[in-house]
Amino acid sequence: MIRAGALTLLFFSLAWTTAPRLLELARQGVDLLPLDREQRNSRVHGSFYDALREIDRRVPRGEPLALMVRSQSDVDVATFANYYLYPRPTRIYSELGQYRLDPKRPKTIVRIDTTNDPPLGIATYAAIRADQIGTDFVTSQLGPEGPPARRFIAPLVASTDGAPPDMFTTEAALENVSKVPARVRIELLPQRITANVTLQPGERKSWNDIVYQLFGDHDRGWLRVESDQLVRAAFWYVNRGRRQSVLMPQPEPVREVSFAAPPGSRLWFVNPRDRQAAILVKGQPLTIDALGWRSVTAGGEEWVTSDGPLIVFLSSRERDGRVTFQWSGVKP
Amino acid sequence: MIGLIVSAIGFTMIGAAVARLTGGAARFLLGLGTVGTVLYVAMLLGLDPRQVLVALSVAALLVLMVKRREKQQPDRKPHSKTALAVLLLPIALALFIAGVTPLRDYDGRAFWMLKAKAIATERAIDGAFFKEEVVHSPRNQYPLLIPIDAAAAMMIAGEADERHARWIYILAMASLALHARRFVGDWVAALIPWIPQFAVWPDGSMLSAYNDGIVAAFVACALFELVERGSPLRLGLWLSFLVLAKNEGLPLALILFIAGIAVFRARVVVSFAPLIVAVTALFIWRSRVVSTDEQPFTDLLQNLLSQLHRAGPALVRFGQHAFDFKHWGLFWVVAIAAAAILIWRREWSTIALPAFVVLATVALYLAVYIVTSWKLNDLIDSSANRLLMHMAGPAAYVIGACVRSR
Repeated sequence: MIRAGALTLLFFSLAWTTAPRLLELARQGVDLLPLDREQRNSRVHGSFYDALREIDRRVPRGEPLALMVRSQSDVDVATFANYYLYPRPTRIYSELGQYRLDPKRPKTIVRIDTTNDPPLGIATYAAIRADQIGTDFVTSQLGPEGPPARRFIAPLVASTDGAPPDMFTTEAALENVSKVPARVRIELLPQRITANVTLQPGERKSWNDIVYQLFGDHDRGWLRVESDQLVRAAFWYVNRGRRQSVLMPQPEPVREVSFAAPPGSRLWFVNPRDRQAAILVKGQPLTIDALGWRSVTAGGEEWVTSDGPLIVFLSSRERDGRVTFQWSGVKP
Repeated sequence: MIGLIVSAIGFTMIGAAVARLTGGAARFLLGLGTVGTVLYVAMLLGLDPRQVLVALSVAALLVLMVKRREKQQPDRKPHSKTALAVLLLPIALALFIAGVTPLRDYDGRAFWMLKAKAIATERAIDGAFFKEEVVHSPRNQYPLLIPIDAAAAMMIAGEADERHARWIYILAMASLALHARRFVGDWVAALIPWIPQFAVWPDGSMLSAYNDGIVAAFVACALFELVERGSPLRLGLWLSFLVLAKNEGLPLALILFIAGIAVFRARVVVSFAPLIVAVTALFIWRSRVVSTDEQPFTDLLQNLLSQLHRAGPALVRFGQHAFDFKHWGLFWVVAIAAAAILIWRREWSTIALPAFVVLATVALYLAVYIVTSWKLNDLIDSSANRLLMHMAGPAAYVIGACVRSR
């Protein structure tokens, strides 16, 4: 009797959890019974599965996918994506730098972010990068504080990534100091792409990646800014990976300049004119296209002469990876 | 349905053939282990697993046709039909659920079924997948016996899909419970598929694709060989299946082998043969595939003595899981009470073997917990219930022995 009682008690202690759960799962099974395999997976796994199947349909069969997770908590979703996508090749990345460095990186990226619904979708490198940057600024004090003018030049702007951790952007601020709206034309050169910005009286706008945000692409060059009203403007060279921000001055074009260039430096030339510039760098001839720019390696005593006004500056990388500049035509 | 037919008939037929040759029962589990082991070795030799499967099936059929079945002992009591119905009820429900509901668990999708799909697709265990040339393969060096069995079902069904392989886990549970009736009694055996951790929990139950239920079955079958003083060869088979089923299979096999020395004495050498084949296959395979994110426990064990202070907290935390009602009901409470009763009655010959297996296994797992680089409580919480499954067979034996004891 005691043994039977003990076994009965044991049975009920087990069935207490197992029976209701089995019945619940069986009831779910009955609901799923009329559906086909894909519909069952969709019902059970929800938007994750639907999005995955959509990606699988869109991307040609056999083409590998890069699974880019937004944070460590998204790795599980990447792992399951692996499972459902197999035998399609995939590679999982936790950051853009890792992706950039991988010579075998797949060209199509699937962004995995469990804060979204669905938690995954095809995304471009540029969009992921922009999302990662978000609204964060490296520059702590976004002026602009210089004298107002109608024309400005940003001699070096970029939205590009180097070897990790280098991630280059240009942060910028524009402020309308007049009493009427200002129409500002911003031109990326030498590409000759234009964006127009309107500032209301007293309005200030800022960008933490102006090249991508205004021109929708990763690129580099220089900016020519023209406004129909007086505005203040400032531009910062930024390396987000090293949290470095350097205010770029408004350099005056010069016809000759010399620099003491540390080894491994780069000498940059920006031609603000509508015709080609012929220059000599340490006696060697070089041409710069109209509204063009180029750079050459530099080291030691560098002197430059030009047949017309030219913006010239030197960039040097310190041991800690930070970059310093020397500018021509900048009043100390 | 193809998967169910393949699983139910195919593995059972091969297991029945092995049972005809070596004696014994638990045909489905024998078949599972045999198919997995033979294909493991065959693929290491570069053979096409489909051809090997066909050859194995033909060989099994021949054995069944040629070798007569041993006559059943006439004085064996017939099994209770009511207990059988209780045993089969959760199995039947689980078969329906698994036949309709997609897999939802973590390890099943992240590791085991992914490996099964890769083996079924590449028909190799050292191909591009296991060299990390296709997708990231977490725990790449985990032993592959169960994924190979799952892949076998997929290959025969012609599709690398989980639904062809889900049955394996449920039928293994059924095979264990049916086989256990002889050793633990009809009613204790009937309770095994009702244990929540075995029946319904997402991490480890027969509704998932975790391997722990099958490992538990192999451990139980090995123990039953020992208590029955049956065949050292069959013991060796169960141990070889363990080695190829999970990382902890090798130390578990060694524990059971040591117990086998006490039972079989010199005859235990016979069980060494299948065991050494499995260990050799495992190490040869590991030398051919990439190691990914496995913890190097054999290296970490060097720190055991310096980490002994973690033993107490680890034991307490581990023990708490045994008394988790939602996972185990009163199973472990009753098992401990049954052990206490047997000790009080000085039934040493009954309690010795299962107690040794359980205590040695607990010591093994504690040692792993102590040296892990994971946060102690996190690792215990994520694994204890599954590791307790491995000891459920010996625990059920103790309960059954106490119930039958006068």
